[in-house]
Amino acid sequence: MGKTTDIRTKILQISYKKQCGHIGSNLSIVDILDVIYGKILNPYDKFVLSKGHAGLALYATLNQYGILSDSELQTYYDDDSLLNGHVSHNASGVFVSTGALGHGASIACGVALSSKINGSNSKVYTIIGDGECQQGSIWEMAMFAHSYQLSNLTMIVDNNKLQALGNLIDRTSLKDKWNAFGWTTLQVNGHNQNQLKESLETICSRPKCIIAYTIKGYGVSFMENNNDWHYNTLSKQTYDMALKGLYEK
Amino acid sequence: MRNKVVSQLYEVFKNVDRTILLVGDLGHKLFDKFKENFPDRFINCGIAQQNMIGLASGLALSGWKVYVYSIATFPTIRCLQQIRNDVVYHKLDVNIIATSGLTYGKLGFSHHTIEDVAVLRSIGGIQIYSPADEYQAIQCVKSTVNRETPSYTRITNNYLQCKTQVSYPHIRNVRTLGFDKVILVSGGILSDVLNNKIFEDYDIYSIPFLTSIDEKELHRVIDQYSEITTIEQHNISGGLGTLISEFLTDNNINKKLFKIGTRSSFSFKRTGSRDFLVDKILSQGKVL
Repeated sequence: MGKTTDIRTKILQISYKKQCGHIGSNLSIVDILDVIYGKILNPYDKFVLSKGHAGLALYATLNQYGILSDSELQTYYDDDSLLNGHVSHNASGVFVSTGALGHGASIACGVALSSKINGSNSKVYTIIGDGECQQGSIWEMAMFAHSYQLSNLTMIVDNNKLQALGNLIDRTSLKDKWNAFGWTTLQVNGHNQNQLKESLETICSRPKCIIAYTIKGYGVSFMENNNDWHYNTLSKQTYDMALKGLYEK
Repeated sequence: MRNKVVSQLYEVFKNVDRTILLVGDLGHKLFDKFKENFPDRFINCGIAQQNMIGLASGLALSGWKVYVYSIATFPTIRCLQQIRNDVVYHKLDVNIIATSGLTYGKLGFSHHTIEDVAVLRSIGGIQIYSPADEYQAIQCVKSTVNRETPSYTRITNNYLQCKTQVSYPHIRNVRTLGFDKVILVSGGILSDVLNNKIFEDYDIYSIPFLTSIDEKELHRVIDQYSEITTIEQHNISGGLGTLISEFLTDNNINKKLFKIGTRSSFSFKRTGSRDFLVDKILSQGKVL
């Protein structure tokens, strides 16, 4: 069983146990997170999860890499827990709390600016949602990062083409938009780790946007591209089905 | 006051390497010395306040002492959620300094800032300074140097001219002639209060540190008077007046309190110079 299956299993186990939603959003970014934590991040690099509603995917990944303990992970969504539903810096290994969309990207940009001023080689990676790109602050950030040539900044857009209430309302090309804002824009299959790794390692002279084509709910066939799983919680029956589907995939 | 604050900030920049200044495309010629001598540490973030506060947060998370300068309505209520979620929640060393109140009187409602204290007070976790004179303003900047937590300094274009630097208590005794009524003032409107005949029968105190009032001292001051009036260039709900009202209630002090300030619709229709608008506020004192 691969690491991504482990991470997805943890997401399903915790989601069932704690009866929480956002399962589709969490499953969408597991492969990206696994590549970042497994193959990309150096000790001085920083990662910001801007789409904070997929916090459980980050907690599960941090747990997979031994940064966040099993006992800590088990407190997720509990009363009196430090592990909020939306990702919290009070959890081990989490750099920044997010949840309101369009915040994390600007914070990451500030960290990248600091590295540039310091002459440091450290890099900053951020995952934002495609729906999150509807926030004006994303484009404020995009403009700024290009003006200051923050080549150490990478945005990965989790482009699963669904937002809370259905299809992405914006039909114009994300690639064209990021290009127009002066970023180097790459497109990859967001569930293909080789493509992800290669794109993350590509050195650019400008800030980089990786549009990762993903499937919301990836790994559990009845959740894939079914937007009900933005909100739905797991019953015993759907939980068993999800786990079985995951192992068989 | 603005020039004194910027000069003091420049002193801070000379002495503390890890300071950085973000501006939101404002402050014409005000920061030329920063640009010249600290080009890496002066950043024009453009007209994009949400991103500016996010950037400030990322810089502070990377170990910088961050200052943000703008016209007060922009780096506060335009990007309030960034202040709440990014700056305050992460307890970051981000210090916003902005020209507030009715400083830009004739420019109209969009540029008046009369609710900043209220919204930031309700968020909490951010020091709020409202200096009345240049010396207080310098002290406010100095106090940000020794702290590593969020702050907001609201400055104004009219202020009390100080000939000498007085020692600096949290509640500054400005005029005590033994009257039985007292005026508590925050911010630069103090100079107008002192020069206004309506208020000549009052003792006057200035309160610049709105979130860290020495309550013992406030108690001692209030005890001496039968009646209290608060005056501010801010809506009467949420600012100094509310703060004093809460203090009286919380401490079971039964005294008359009059709150003089703006209401939210203060400049919806007619506007005018800062002096015109401040006169309009102070005329509320005629009915006392």
